[in-house]
Amino acid sequence: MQKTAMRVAMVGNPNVGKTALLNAITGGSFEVGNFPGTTVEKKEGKAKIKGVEVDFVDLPGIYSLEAYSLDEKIARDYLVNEKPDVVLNVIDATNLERNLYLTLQVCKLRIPMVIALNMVDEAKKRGIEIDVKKLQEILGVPVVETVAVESKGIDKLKNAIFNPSVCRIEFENRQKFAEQIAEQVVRKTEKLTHLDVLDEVFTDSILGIPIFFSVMWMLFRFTYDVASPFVNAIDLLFSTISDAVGDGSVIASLISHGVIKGVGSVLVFVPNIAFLFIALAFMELSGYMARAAFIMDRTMSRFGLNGRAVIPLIMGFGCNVPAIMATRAIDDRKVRLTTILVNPFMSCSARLPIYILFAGTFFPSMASAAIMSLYMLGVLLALVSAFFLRRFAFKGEAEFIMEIPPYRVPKFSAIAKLTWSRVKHFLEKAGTIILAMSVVIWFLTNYPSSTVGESYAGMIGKVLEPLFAPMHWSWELVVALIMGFVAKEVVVETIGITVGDLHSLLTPAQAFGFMIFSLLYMPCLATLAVIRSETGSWKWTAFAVGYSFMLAYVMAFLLTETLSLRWWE
Amino acid sequence: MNDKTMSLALALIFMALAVLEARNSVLNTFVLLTIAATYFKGAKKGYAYMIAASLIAVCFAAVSGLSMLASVINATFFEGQKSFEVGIVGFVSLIPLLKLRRGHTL
Repeated sequence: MQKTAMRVAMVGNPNVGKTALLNAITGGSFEVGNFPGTTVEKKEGKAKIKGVEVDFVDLPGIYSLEAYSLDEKIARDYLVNEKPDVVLNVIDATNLERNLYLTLQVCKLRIPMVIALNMVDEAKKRGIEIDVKKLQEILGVPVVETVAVESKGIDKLKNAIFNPSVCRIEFENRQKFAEQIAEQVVRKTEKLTHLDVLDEVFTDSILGIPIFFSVMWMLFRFTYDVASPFVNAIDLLFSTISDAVGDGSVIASLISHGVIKGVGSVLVFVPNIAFLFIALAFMELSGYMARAAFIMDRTMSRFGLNGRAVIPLIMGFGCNVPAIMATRAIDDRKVRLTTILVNPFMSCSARLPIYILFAGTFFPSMASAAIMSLYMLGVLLALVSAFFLRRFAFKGEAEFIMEIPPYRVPKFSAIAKLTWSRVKHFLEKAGTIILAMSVVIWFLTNYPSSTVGESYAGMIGKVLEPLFAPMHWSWELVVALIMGFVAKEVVVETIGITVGDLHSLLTPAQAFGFMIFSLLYMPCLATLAVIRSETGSWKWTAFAVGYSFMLAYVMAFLLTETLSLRWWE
Repeated sequence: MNDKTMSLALALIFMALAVLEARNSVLNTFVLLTIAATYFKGAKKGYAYMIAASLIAVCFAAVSGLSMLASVINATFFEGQKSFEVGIVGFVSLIPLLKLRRGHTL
């Protein structure tokens, strides 16, 4: 195995094409992980250049090395502590002056540097010409023109990496100096492209928001409806394997109902996650995501969130697992954590069977209204919780510096490679936790008896029954709630097995309380696993469990009592 | 046909589709009405709105087409029902986009 001879750190503003460049240089073989001790995404890849293996590390997109945000701190610490052999500074040719602010800061670190002047095709379309030779002379480092998404300029860039220079330029005022450089090297003849006019529409004061919600609905359908055959296929595959293994012995039962069911319960989400990331990548790379975040920012900021938080929250109506993964698009750490922790209050589709069963049984004439009220309550509690979390737990102004990138047609190959890297990361992190927990739950529901009532799960249900006495829920319903921890759909399945007639167990008020509790009580196992992997913290995962349980209990109790007094007593 | 007339014609088509879809799906109807509204504004304000509406309509048509295909696969191999999506008519909005490709001036 060849030793790595060189390490290259890729630095640049957000949306300049660093990942596309990494993809082009490494031929698509890069991996997605996290920087140690953080949840900030890290992309790393290897390439053989002139027979030498070179490591590329894609640092977070930043505007400066001032280290006010976590991303800036990570980038700066990496450059200072890890001492890469070369810094590859990726610059957006359509906005040279703004990109040079960071370049000049990186110069101060005196690390050998190469500049990739990316998106030169976009710059040309906009009538922007850059005197590359002059820029090279001024900065004293190689400058290579590239179009990363079309792999243009890559060979020249690879050669330049082996011939970097240290930027020894001296200046007093960084902003002023960047402006002076831009004046000397940039020639502009402004051209409005056909797509630029779209900004007038997408940020329209009346139509902007309906257009945004229309796009969200399309995203939703793509993630769930279009992915559904793949979901069904995986589900069928694992059911078939589980049936084939059978439960004739303890080991067979462990494998079929514990391991296979556990692994299956992870893999069944993969199509939804993959389709979601394809759609999000398309939106991000096309340039629409930035406009959407801009439109929604004012509304979301009232609750301590920013425009980028609205997409994961809406996705939560389908499934909280991919929705929480979608929070990776939120740069601000505080807002991201808040969005992750409140996302489970967005009523996912798995809870719908519970609502339909109870609403149909107890409120047949107004079932839709009853179900709709739950969705609205979930949204309200998510936003109110976000407000208080930002006030007390994640204090401080949220950073929302956002660049509006140009519109472009994304390359499917780049989307596909990035999606695969993210899906792989999900499988590795979430899969291990779910597999372990599934084995534990299998044990609790099969011992000492495979009959639910006489299993450890049943015993736990009977022990916990007094806790739910204020809501008058029987142990059968408590067991259903425990089973719902694995997956919310299982609540209905368990009620079907253990309970005969719901009317004999509950009044309408108590039933509505149960519905509210099901909405709020605890994220399911898969969601908890992804909360853990995305927050990197057992503390916040435990908080998600404790806070949601407490909120569910209080709301269920209050509403049960209130409704009992008003309408049924 | 000039842009404003085309925009108006497409607005009326999408209004009709919204009426047809109203019984099946509130959210699909919302999307169709949004497209219609954007086309109506295009008839008044011009090109940008027509192009934006066309892009949204074509994307919606693509998603509708894929959803239909998914429902056919589900009905064939798994438990499910085939569904027809009126949104697929949105491919008619390719006409203004093709006109753009042929070199429309701003």
